[in-house]
Amino acid sequence: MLVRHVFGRVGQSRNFLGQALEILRRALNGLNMCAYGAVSGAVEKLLNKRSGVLGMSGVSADIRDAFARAAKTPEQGAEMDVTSQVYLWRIRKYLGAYLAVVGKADAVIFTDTIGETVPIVRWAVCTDMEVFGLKIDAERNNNVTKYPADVAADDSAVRILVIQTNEELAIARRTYATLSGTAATAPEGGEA
Amino acid sequence: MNVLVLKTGHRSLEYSYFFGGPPQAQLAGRVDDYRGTDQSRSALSKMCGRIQLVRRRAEDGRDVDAIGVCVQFGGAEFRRPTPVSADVLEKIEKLVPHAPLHLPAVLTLIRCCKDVFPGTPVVLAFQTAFFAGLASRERLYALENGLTKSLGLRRYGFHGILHEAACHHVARLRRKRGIRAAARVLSLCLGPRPELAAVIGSRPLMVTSGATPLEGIPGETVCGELDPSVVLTLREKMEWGPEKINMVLTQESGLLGLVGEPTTIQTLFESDNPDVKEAREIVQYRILQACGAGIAAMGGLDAIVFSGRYAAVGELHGPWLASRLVPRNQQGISFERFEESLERIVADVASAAALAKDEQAA
Repeated sequence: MLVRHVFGRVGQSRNFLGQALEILRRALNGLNMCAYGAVSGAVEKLLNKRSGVLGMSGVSADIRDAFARAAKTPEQGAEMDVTSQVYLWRIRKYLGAYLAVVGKADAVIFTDTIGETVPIVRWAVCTDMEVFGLKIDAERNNNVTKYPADVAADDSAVRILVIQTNEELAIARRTYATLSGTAATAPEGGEA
Repeated sequence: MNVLVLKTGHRSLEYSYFFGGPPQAQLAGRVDDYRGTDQSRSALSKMCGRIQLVRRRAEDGRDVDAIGVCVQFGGAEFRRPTPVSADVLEKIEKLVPHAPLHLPAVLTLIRCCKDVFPGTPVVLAFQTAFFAGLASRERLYALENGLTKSLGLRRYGFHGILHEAACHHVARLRRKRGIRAAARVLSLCLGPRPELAAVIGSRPLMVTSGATPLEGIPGETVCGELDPSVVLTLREKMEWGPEKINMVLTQESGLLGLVGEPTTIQTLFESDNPDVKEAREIVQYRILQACGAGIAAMGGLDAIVFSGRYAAVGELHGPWLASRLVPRNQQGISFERFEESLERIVADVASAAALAKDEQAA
């Protein structure tokens, strides 16, 4: 089984998927992450610094600004501006792509600033995904106060989890484990 | 109606001649080195000669009642099959900067058709027309607005004619089974450049090809989706110019690059060679990912339809895809094979458009 990291920069935050272990301990065998590479050059500057949310919106690199200009509630997703639509659509397509690769997933995890704090992202990405076994609960999704949270409906075959990242603590734990010679904590990579 | 169908490729011009309505062409072939007025005219004259030979035994009627030309680009401007007129040619001229390799060859060919087949209506069928109305969320790249607008950078989709016909086929089959609701269809066009589209009814929501046919699933010689920085690396480390990079990515990558020798999609799915096996896993994985994205786009799945030259391979592929795509509930998902060739569809489209034009004139 794989757990997919849907949001946020990929780096140390992957270690924090270790929190998922506490919820999924019995089922979890491995984690699998995707990673970004870095490039250089003039075109690279355009693609890295002036594209994405900033390039499209022409105003801000923070997708939350684009959301703020649009609808206030997730259910009004259709009225969002183009930048927000492209952003959510891409994430949704990636989620579908990876769920197809995983087969029977057990959980989808939202993490990092956007994944933790913007309900509309989780809603737009997980709604109408029952074909993959995902059923998001609107009320739970809109009222996340404690982490980790499960925003899936009771009868959802796949859990939809919101988990906070704490990269500093993850690094500290790894450092301690390495120096004290204790085994690594979270398994990585493996596929079951 | 007797129809000559022309399809311009990167290096060759393919032609098919349909004498009446049978699905198979009575005559088909390929001319390399067709670019340029003299070359195009000579290619068409040879076709004309071959058609006359085939037709010698036929009693009456014209050899060629209409010519259908399959055009890769321009569907946003020409959403329906379009009979050629001076006005149409002028509009296509204006699009040349967006498809500088393809459209000039098409324009030359159309003009030569008038010389070699005088008085025969020429009808253009546009591959990108089906996807012209894609929602902005699917159409747009996350680049600066000014840049995408001035360069015409957007997702186009390049096998629209087959996808559209294949999805109509699915709708017809469903109506026969008494199902009226619009189907959520994954349409997998398995040609030398595979392309997947997600279509609800006849409305496409997603397609794997992008601003050019380079994006998406790897093909026989086309690389498929790449990290854009790979191109920058080729530029920097290999010191290749744009033309060389374009050549490598379109002609020397994909299955040819992965396997190390020319490999068709058919061989890919049928060979036991270990190098081919690895390439197969890569392509299957990419197809699976694209299917997952398509299902997410549609919010579900009712049918998968295979079309294109290697549609039969789809039958081998069907059960594998189903078990991976909808492990929880495979009930109610149908697998269809659409056998009609692109050329036959274009011939029909050209016949219909030519007839409509005649009726208008009468």
